[in-house]
Amino acid sequence: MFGILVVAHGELGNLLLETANKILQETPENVFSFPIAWDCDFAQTKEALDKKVNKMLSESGSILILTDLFGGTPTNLAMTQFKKNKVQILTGINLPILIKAIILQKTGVALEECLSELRMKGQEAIVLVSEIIGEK
Amino acid sequence: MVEKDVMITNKLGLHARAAAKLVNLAGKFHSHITISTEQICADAKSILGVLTLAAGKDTMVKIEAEGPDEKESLEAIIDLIENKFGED
Repeated sequence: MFGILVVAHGELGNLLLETANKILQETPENVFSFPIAWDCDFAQTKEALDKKVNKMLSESGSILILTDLFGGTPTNLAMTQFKKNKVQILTGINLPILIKAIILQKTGVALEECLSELRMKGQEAIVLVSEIIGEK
Repeated sequence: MVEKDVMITNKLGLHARAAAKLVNLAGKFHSHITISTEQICADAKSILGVLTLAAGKDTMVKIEAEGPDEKESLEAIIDLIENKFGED
């Protein structure tokens, strides 16, 4: 079972995880948030992230890092952790992606097998409501 | 295959936590179960699928079940919806 680490600006990751847990009515194992403070020191934060990722890898074997914004500091920090077959990074996290990731994680599927599906589900969950209900 | 129509009657409709309850319940059965509105049909074991129905209060949905425990699963899901997902 792969681990999931949400790396995002400020409290965003904590709140997304708290919301997903509330909806799923559970506290999943090996799913964590790693908040990136607005005034963080890159080197120090990278060091802390290294430790967190290594600890999770020792427990899970592989990790999915979900970040909020490609190009932002949380993603830039996460990208320092990329290891093919061990640490994968998916950016642009939204609540549907996080919920789907938690559900897939529990099934025991390998990390590499669910990356495409997660990206697709996250995109599909973005809905322009007018296309569904038409103009009133 | 068994099926039944049921009205969503809880105030918040088939919202996220209600959908999670429905999906958890459906997942306990072996049958293939769907929930559908007039426009959309979703796998009752997929929370993101169920949420695509966007079924608010007073929406009529159809539950269909096919498999070894289809009758029990249909009854359980109808019961959950008629009991307003334990809300209100």
